[in-house]
Amino acid sequence: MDLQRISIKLYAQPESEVEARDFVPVFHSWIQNQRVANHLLIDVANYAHVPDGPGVVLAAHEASYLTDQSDGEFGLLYQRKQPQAGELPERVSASMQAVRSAAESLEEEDDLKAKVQFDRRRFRFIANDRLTAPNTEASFAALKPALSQAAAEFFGHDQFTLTRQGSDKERLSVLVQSTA
Amino acid sequence: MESWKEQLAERIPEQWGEEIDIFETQMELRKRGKLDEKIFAESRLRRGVYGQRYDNGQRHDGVETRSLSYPSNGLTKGPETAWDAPGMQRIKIPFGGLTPDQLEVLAEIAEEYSHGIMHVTTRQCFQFHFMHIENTPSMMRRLAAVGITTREACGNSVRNITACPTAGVCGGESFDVTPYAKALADFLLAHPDCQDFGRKVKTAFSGCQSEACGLVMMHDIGAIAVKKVENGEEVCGFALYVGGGLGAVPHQAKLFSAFLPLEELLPTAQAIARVFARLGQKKNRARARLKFLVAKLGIEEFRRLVQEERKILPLDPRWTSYLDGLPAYGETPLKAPAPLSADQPLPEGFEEWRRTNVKAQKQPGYVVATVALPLGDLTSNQARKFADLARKYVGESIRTSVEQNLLLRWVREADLPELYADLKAIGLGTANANTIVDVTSCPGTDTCKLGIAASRGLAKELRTRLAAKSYEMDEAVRALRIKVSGCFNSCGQHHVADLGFFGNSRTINGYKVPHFQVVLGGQWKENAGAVGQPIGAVPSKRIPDVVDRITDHFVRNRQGDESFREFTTRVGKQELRSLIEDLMRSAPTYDENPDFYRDWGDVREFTLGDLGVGECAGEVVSLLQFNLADAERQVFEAQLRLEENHYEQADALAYRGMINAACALVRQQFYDVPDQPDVVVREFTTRFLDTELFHDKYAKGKFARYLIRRYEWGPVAEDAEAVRQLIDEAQLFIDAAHACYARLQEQKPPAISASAAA
Repeated sequence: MDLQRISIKLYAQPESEVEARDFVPVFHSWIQNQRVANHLLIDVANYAHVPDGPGVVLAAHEASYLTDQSDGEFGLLYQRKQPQAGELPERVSASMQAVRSAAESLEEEDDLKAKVQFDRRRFRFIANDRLTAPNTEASFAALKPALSQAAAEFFGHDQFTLTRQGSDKERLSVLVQSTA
Repeated sequence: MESWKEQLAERIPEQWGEEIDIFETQMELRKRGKLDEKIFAESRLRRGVYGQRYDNGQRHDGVETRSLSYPSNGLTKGPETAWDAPGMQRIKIPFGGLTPDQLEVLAEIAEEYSHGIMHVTTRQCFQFHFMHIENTPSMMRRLAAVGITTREACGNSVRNITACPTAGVCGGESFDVTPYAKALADFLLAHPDCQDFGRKVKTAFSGCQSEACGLVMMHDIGAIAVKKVENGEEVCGFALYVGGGLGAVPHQAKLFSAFLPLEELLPTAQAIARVFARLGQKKNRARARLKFLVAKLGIEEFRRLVQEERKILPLDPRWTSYLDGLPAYGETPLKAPAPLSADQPLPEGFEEWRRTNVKAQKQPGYVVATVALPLGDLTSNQARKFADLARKYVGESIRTSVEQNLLLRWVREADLPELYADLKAIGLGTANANTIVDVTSCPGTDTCKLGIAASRGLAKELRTRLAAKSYEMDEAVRALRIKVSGCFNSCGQHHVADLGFFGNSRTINGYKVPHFQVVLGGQWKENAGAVGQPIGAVPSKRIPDVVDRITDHFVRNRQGDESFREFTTRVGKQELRSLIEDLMRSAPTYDENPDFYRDWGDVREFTLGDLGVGECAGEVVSLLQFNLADAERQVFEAQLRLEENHYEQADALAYRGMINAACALVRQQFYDVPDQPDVVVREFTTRFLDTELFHDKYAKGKFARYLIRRYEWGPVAEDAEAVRQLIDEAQLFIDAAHACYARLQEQKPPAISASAAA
């Protein structure tokens, strides 16, 4: 499967008490300080006025970082926009690395460190391309090997579950949860 | 893997599919450096592919202005517009009407190519931001497959045709304007007479004189439904207005005809388009809108010219063919009407929502429910769920409004509590639609290249503050409207609000400070019946205080049931200004309050350094330049066919390119020339070859003979070399046509007449 538009969401820990708007100054400072490697950071967009939406977006040419709440739960979503090199497992791993690295940086920010921690025991994978990866069992099956490989790298073990999510009209998404 | 083009081939109307293919080829030509950036810019604008802030490759990050090194390596999609920079996509929704299926596809597109946010504009369109141009052809095909085209959503063209969102169900209307708005939108879309404007043309329909919904008086062309009695029978028609517009200098539209018969609507609009294309300003874009032409000529002379043009228009059966289908036109409610019964349980918040968001239809037992969208935004998830609610309660009928909301029509009263609960569950159950809380705004500095101040930031702040006190608000204040524009260009329609604000800037203590000019007393009702008066510029962070003071003064000093406009007219500018004078004058130092020097929602220090070149007007590219670029595109496609060994197709495309180039030249003298080869070659020979107008100083008529030879000899044989030669000749012919046009431009431009040379 030649999927390029990969999205990965790391959920905030339930005890986190952060609001999307808290990310506005942080993302602006990231642009000032060019904090994200290999990404051309462009602007910050604030959609926090819309319930259960993308929240605050750090828009880059290659990808965007969203304080996403579209599934009702707060998290950091990495939304890839430009193609990446390598085979699908490598692309998924690269996206996971990007979101994990951003999450670590956010947890270290002075204005956020007391407010947010991200859960490393689960993540959500979204195939943001209905043409390449329609939300079907066949697509899910085709994605599983790459996703499993990337998940094993992410968790450092192979004890995890992959659960397909979403209605037919939604994009194919998979909740990946560690069981170790 | 299939592409969207292949997957949706059966569902895309043939002409729309071809147009998207052409746009894709234009993109390819631009990437290869074979299409001028100005012509490409106007081509993409006419497909709704718009620029966005920072696409010129620089941004002030709060400390300094930095370069954004887009990877496009100098490739541009227009002057000072990097190819890889994120852009805005505008999607026309004629009369704001859309189906649940269409809404779902829009939601998918926003999700996959943007950030899952769908923005409803002040002209009933949708806009998506942060889109990459490479995704636009697929996006267009997905939309085309459900009956939506982005053609002419921007650029110097006929923009989205708007109409009252309650047309057909409103008790105050003369008749339902929907089918007429649709017919005119279909008729003018891609119409040859609408391709050579100096600026855009905005058109609106209203069902009545008194309400606001259509905003006819601020449009280039506006039609209000009217009836009169003729020979004892009631006859429908339109009061037609022309030359209205907002912008920096608002113009109220002038009455063109008090009663235009229905069958005259389309041809009159066509005649107006022709007169505007011919006489409208092209060089000075600041004065190129129709309103300036009407003002310059005077309405009587403008009317005379249009009527003269109308007389010589070639007959078009489409002018009236749609009228035959009108008796069958109408919306069928999904459910039989049923009143709200006294013993129905009502969800919490329902009564307030019903009071502000629900309006009775003229059809007993049915109501229109307005879904108030904060700043016109909703998410893809909300849109999908809302589409399901539309299917559940009303069937097919969804409308967008110029107040950036969504409307459900044909809701039966008995369903209201359940509908409200369902809307609330998806975050769309907000009350206060159609009130002062429901602030509308253009994108401003969030994404617009021309934005000076953060209109959305201010609108968000006002909305939050006003919502908090809406329960204790005086009814007279609740009924007011606030509209915010990020600059003087009025996309937020601030001129016609009770309280309007538009962004500007002042220097205080050596710092640039975002300000908003306060405009009071605009009239939203009576189709935007009057514009407001500016009373002074106030620092952005003090605008909420302005709203409080002005509305308090209104409540305390209002006489009887005086409207806000009447009130502001009576008390006068001087008194109103004195209420806010101190807010305009005093300011904290930067050290005392640095936040004062920033804009709403923006943590960066305020700057004007991010202002870019606007694309609202597009590039002024003449119709001839467009036609020649299109001819070149055909020759390029001929080369591709040749490389694929499709000689016959390559030959036909190269020949068509020559014919179209010749046709473009002939059109300079004979506007209505048909594009049939026999006619084009004959007219070209008579007007350009025999007269030696086409002659080059050195080559004389050599290049013209390439066309004549292909015309006389017919297709070249199945011979790669002969086809290659023809393609080369076609390119030379088009180059010569460009040179001929340049020479003509240096001389006195030929007069264009619809009839003279026919």
